[in-house]
Amino acid sequence: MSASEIERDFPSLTPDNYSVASPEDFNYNCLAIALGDVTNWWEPPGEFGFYWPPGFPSDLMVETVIKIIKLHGYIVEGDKRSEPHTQAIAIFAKDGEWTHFAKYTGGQWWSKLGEDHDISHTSLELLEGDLYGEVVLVLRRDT
Amino acid sequence: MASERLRAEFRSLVEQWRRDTHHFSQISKKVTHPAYFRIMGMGERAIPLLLEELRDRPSHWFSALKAIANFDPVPTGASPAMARDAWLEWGRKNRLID
Repeated sequence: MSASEIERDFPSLTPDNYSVASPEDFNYNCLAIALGDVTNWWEPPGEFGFYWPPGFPSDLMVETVIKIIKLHGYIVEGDKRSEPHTQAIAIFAKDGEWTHFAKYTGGQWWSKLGEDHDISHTSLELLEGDLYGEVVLVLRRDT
Repeated sequence: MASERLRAEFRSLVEQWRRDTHHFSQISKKVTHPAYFRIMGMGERAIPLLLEELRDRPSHWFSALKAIANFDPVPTGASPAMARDAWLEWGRKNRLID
């Protein structure tokens, strides 16, 4: 989608605070790339085209996905306003269900917007709103 | 060959669906959009159009194809790219797309 379509869904984004970083790709979503996988779409319930780690409940609850992220070496950071030191994953949620994940690496935040582009963005607040809700937790990994 | 009227209606619904759901992180939310349901409601006439769309502008049309065709050529555990390949191969074998 075009930049104007991205900015329509996320009105706080402007050319000064984000950049498109990849082509559109329907193969992976934000959770997948946050955990290092660009070949699959991480989402329960494991229908074709989906991937969900075995042994975890097939739900969209934040509590479930925290356990999955922790399995990859992340620990709870807490305050979303503090700048992460190394790598971090921010969980966006609405009504207790996750809606989006942003990853912090290389000194900035990165987000895969559904089937659309990956973008880099200067803060988490830029993606908060009707579509993704709010950041409810940040987990960090020191490497 | 789909009629021009059917094709126009299909295109309109696809654009509506993309506009409203392209940034969703969950396919389970994308496939419950009213435009997706209306495309499924077109029945078998929509299959060649869905395959063309999948070929030219890949997206998650697998649930619609599976529901309309009452068939699933995708192997268990396939990635989205593999699912796309399986549906396009099925479509070519059945002479539904080029």
